Amino acid sequence: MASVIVVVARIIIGAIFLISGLAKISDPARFILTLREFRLFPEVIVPFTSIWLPWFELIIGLSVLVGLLHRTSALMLACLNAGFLAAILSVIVRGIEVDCGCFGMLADMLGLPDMADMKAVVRNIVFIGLCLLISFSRSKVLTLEHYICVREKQR
Amino acid sequence: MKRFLREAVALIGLSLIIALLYNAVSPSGIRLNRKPMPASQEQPVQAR
Repeated sequence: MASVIVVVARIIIGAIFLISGLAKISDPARFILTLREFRLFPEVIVPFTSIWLPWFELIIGLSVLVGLLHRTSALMLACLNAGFLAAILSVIVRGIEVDCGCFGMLADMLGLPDMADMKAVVRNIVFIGLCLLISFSRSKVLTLEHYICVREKQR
Repeated sequence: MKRFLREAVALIGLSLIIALLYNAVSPSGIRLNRKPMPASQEQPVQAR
């Protein structure tokens, strides 16, 4: 039963970050504007962060989904989400109303709410919980790592 | 712990390489080494 829960959590978290990364990669100009609106990073590192962060999300999301280095990736996703949570809380405290930029243009296309508000805080806390669950679980059900191990033993 | 650090560095490095390569070839890529334009070359903003 625990393995099933971990697999479901992996599919949910992996798919969310894969889609979120793709949405940001497809519209880099929008993501750079969102980062500037947060007023957290110095201007020097904003372009670099806007280039790297979506790909980082995509790669670790894919890694969690397929189950290759998934425990490390899930722990990194938990740290990333903790960073997002801190950023969202900081704009709430400072009273700045901004788009959270979590799903880029996808939020507009699907008409999803994408503001940096308490809903985003709760969503991030849930994501952190799921990521920690994946990271601390030793289940290898439906993972590429398990498949590779089985193939190695057969040789 | 050591394994985690090794894997984390590998994932960060991989994403960094792919991101920089994609940004270099993509038409919508962001220019990282853009220098500020001298004041003499700035175009005056016209009121619409």
